Amino acid sequence: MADEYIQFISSVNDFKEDKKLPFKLKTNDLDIFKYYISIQTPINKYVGVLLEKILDVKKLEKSNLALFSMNETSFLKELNSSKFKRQVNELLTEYKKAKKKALFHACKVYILEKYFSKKNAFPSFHKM
Amino acid sequence: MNQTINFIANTNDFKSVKKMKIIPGVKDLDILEFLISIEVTSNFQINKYLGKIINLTSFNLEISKLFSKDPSFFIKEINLSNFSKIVEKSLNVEYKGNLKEVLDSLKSYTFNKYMLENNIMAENAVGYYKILFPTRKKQLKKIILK
Repeated sequence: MADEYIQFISSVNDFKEDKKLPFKLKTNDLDIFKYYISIQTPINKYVGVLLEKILDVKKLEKSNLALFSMNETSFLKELNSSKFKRQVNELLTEYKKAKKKALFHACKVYILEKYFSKKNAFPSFHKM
Repeated sequence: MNQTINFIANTNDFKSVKKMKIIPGVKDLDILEFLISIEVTSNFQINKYLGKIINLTSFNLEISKLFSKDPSFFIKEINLSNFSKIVEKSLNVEYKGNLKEVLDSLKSYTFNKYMLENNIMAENAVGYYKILFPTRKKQLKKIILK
């Protein structure tokens, strides 16, 4: 067990993190599991912040406020509708092919996470 | 002062080093892609360690019964006490006292699986870590797209 550790450090101006898990004799699988979730939470949050800087996803959210009052079944149906797809694609006119496709999915994940975080449900591991 | 993002895992069974220096010319999208690549790695490790904390075979069997429900009903179900009982029953002996610490994560695990099983999001994009950004194709193909 010589110097085993996991570390995540960010010194980006608006994203400062320093989380280290040095392995000790008592470190167990649950500690490591919790550590990975503890880094995933701020990373995921900052990915959302970056997306807001890259694209006007706030505008997308504001123009779709009605989605947030729908029940889960209707929300997911609407999120996958051609109407919503058109709105997202309007934000992506300057991007092409693979990057456009990836950002399209990222916009959907952004709205998906916003919706379910209000219900304290998380479709990915990033809140504990 | 240099802005950097570093992730290092130096353990006996897993080694990974991911470093990024934010120099002029690095765009927000580059940082986003880099962070998502760390998410891919951490997500993979989370799932690996989850398998050491609970009996995933019996847990997966139990939660698969919820996958035919509609989304609204499913969300209600994972917030009921019956779901906590399923988690408690599946916890490995040494972690029986840690239900509260892992319950939310197991809800996320179940929710994630539900969405994937039901193909709810196109191309399985249920989280940022599942999105195939062009510069991460190699990593994702290796880790996720099996």
